[in-house]
Amino acid sequence: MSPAISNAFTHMNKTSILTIENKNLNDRENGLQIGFTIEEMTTRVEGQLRSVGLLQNFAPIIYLIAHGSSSANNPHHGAHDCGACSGRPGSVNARVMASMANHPIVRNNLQNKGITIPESTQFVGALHDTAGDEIEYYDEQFLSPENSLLHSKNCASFEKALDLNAKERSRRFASIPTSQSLKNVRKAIKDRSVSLFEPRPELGHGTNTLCIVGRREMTKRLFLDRRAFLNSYDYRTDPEGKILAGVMRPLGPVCGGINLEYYFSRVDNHKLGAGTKLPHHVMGLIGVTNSCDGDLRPGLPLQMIEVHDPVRLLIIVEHFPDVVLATIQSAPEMYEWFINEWVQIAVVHPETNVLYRFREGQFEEYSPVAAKIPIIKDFKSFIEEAQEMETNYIADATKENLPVYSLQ
Amino acid sequence: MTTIHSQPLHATMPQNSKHQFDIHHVIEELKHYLPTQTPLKDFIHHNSLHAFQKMKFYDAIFTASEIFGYQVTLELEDFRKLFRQGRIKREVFENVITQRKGIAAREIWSKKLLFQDYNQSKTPRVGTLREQWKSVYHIDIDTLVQPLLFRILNAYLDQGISLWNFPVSCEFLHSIREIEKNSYVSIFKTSRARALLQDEFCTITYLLELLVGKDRYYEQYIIDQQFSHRGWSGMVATIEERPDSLLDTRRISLHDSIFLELLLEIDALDDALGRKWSPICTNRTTEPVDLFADAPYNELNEVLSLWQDAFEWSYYDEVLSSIQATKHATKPNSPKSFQALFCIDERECSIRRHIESVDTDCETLGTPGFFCCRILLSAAKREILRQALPRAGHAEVPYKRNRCTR
Repeated sequence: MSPAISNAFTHMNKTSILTIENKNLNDRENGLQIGFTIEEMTTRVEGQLRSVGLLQNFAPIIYLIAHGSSSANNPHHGAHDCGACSGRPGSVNARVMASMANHPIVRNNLQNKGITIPESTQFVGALHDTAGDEIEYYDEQFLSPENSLLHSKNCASFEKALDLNAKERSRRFASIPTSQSLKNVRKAIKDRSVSLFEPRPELGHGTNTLCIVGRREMTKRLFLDRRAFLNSYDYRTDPEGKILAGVMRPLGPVCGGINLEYYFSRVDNHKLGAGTKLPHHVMGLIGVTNSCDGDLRPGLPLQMIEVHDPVRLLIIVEHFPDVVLATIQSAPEMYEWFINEWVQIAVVHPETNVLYRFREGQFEEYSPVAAKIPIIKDFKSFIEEAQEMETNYIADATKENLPVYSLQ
Repeated sequence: MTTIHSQPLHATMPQNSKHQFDIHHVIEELKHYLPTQTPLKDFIHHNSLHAFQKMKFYDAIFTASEIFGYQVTLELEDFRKLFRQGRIKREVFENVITQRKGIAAREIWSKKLLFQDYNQSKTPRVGTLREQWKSVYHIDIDTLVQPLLFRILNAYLDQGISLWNFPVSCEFLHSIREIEKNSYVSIFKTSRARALLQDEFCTITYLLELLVGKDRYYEQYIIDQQFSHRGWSGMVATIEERPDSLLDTRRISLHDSIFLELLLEIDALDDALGRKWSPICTNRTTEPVDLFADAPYNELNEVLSLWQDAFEWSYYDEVLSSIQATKHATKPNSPKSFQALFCIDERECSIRRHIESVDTDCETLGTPGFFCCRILLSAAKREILRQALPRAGHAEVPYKRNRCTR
């Protein structure tokens, strides 16, 4: 690849060796400890598993799939990478967590804490390139023979899923006929992502609107058109909301921050966004200016926000309203996001299925007015026939954003 | 060569008897309101109006609009178009108005939202004071100063684009002084600014005395000036706070870049007008503008906020209804072919859906993509650290550093 290309997979070479375990507390550089001790590893792996409610019924292979984004001639490539990793691909983080979760002493410690992972279960780190729709796996050589066979089969499944994902994404790209064969669509997606002439290698977080905190079953049968952050959480493993506080705390700064940057870049792309990419100059590798206008342009360029509906993030939590209220009120910096309405929040009562919305400091019951949800009968034709924008003017462009459909 | 005055130049000028102005306070205020976007290598999404986050959303955005002239919602006609298209649903529209204005006022507010004309022009508070250079002296001071200022800042902060490195790379103002002392050419066209640069007793307050005249306007002048190029000012403030945001570190401060900009303004005025100009507020008697006061009530803002609520709830309602309608029955723990944890990132929403459709026995989960590992990375034998942790976690735990060898 040319130097003009930001390749998500080069953030960490697949064959590189990471120093992950700290065996001596004096092993430091510039005042920083190198690697994690066993106790620290145990705490992190336990925290990871409890936060998503994965405490039993472990599969033979558990993938940790980070994401990054490849593109060419794109000064804003970091805005397409993982926001939770400082705008970088998360490949190292996934690989580190997989390694820690595979550590035999960590497994033993976890067992003492009530989490028994079968010895045969192995964790595998991976990276999904969200622009090119490719996945790279790490440390596959450490898989047992049995798991190697299963991994090969799973890789084939992931390839099929990537084909379908590319097809779904292609409906928003004028340069790719969505009705081509899957193979051709996938190739076109990959080629487009690293084309020097393409100002939209992917659409980033454009259209983000929702953040669902709950079990996958809440949304598994819904088509949400790639508008939802999905944070797994099982209220049954956390009746008092102790884990929920840790889950909720980053949602404002991370998901809310993404949502509001898109919101403001959309409503005032001249003053709060970066304007069109086409005349951008990269200044000192630190920022961009727009043509002869010499000021640096913070915010997002036009090509990232054209399809974005400027609406605030709605967080939907599956839990009891009183537990959620106590959780969001447990830290002032977290509560500020909700009480000042920079993000909205609703609750689904897990037992009664009643909905509640947060207004003026409390949850009140909410009865939706929406009529019956439409059903997708054939996904292929649904995607191929979906509406395309006539112009990139807001009221035209966002017609592409599809309503909620049921996948039943 | 630069000539240095034997007596500090500022000592020859009359001083205001009482200075209420506190440059450190103004710089802190500026840092609060300026953009905090980091250099491109670390792109961390954040609330563009973070400075107003202590306020309620609508109060905050309309105050920001009043101060800086931002458009903070869709335009009125765009909301009306979305309503005509059916993307803003009539039932939700009516519910929002009823809830906020009461059933009795629903009709009158519906008409306002749908048909009433409003004056939608914006005159931001920021920028009005320095506009006087144009109205009084017919000079566009920004055009005279900013191209040079931006070139200097860019050359000093450059991370590898320019063919020649900035000749001196100690602290910013010291570097400029060194260059001026040792160069055949100067960045200044006139002698006064050149001499003031080298005057170790010269302060921002003194330069404002020359340019503005009355200390009660100093704060407004500085804020006007810095928001005429909020991108560069925000970048300087960010690099000052986080020098590690540059791989090739530079020591710079907002204070010093303001100092240089004021000198460039004096230089531009001296060059264009000789000494035939007076401080811009010499004859000004009106009270300085309270830039950061709350926005006064404005019916248009109320109308826009009602439209915004209707737009948001038209979608939210559909989602909540769908979740309620498709509520699952809890399945027993059947064996899984594999489990896959993805980042919560909304782009992963579709790949999860597709892998679940391809392998119906698998299970997918979502978690923040740093996977509980707040780490800094360093390649072997390199001093450069790269962050791989969320912005929200900066101060929570000591960072672990993983050495990456190849």
